[in-house]
Amino acid sequence: MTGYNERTSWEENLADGGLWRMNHSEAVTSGAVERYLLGQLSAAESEEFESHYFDCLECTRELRVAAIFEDNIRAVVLDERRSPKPSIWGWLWQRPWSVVPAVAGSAFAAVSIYQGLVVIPGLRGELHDAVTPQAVASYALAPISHGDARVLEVPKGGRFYSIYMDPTWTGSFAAYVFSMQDKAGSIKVSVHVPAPPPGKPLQILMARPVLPSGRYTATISNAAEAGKPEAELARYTLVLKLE
Amino acid sequence: MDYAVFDADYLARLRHRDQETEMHFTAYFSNAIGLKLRNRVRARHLIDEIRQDTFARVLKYLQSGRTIQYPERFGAFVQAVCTNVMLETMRRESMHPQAGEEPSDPPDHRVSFDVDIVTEERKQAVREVLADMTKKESTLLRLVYLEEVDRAEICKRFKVDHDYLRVLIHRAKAKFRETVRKKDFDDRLQ
Repeated sequence: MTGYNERTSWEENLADGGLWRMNHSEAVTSGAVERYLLGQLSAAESEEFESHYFDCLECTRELRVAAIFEDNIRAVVLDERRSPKPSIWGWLWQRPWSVVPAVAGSAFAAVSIYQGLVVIPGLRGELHDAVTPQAVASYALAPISHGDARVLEVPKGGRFYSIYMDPTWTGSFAAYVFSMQDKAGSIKVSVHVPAPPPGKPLQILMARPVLPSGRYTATISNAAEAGKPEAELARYTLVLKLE
Repeated sequence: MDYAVFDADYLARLRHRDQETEMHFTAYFSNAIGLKLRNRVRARHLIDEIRQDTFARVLKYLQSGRTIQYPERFGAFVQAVCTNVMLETMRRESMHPQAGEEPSDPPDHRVSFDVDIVTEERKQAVREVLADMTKKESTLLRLVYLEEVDRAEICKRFKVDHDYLRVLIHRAKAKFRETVRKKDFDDRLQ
């Protein structure tokens, strides 16, 4: 091979294959494709690799796939930066209407689940308790004029208790109104009760949860009817103690 | 365009202006030159200019009757001519800026050195490749391709070396090719 100094142009020097070249095996084992694209090759190494891949179809293909991948991943990253993935709250904020069916569905699901897991089993339990035979504590009330407040100690586990009052008032009426007021004078219970049979007490069945423990004033009034306006007939004081 | 094994017969056909061989020559080396220039020359018109000038010089050299001693290294010869043309062009551009024109940032055409290199299908394939990776790997890969982030700094922050990056990209590239092949929309990657 003729020496470089005797050549008249760089093209002729190249035409003689004067450059040392990387071979394909070296290119593969050194990961030249990736190093080249990552800029990890020196200028001389880049030149060697370029001299190789210009002659090597396989390396050119690898380089092309890598370049296509690089350009597309760069485009993907740019897309992501231009329109960052919004948080779920940001997404909902931008599309408030979209939340309506979702909330409605969620609410329906929540109610259904709550009913299925809590309400319905609870009602079933209460129904079962209600129809199961049980003892009911009964307490007779005496008008205030008959002494101090009556203490009603409702035993633990008693779901109901009964209050009864002997009719000590004059006159007979078709129906009565039974009311209970707390210490502040607020009416907590008011029920319309039909008149009991003659000689029998007026009886009220109370559910334990209706009133908390405390001091109450109970009154019996006649239910208004034609020619007979409502009027208080009896007043009782009681202290309720739920054990 | 499946062969890149150059020989004396190929060069003879080029010398005699065989049309089919010339078409192969321009197609094959357009791709190779594009890959070479994509990270070195930003302006699309300069890439085209360098490419055309390289073709002209190589063909002129062959058609003038001069020979290439190792025809199988014809690609390396074209590459060397291209390097010289590139250096000349860049030197000329830096010494003789266009008079009377406002200097402006050259457009970044690397994303589209080939007209349709970025496509929705390919981007979707990339997303699938990223989704298949661990969080660390996909974050690394995204950072590597953000130009403003220094790669040495990335390696330092993630406590990996350059070989790790190289292998990561090699695996991602292979997975990308496999994904594209399965979808059967891109025979140019086969």
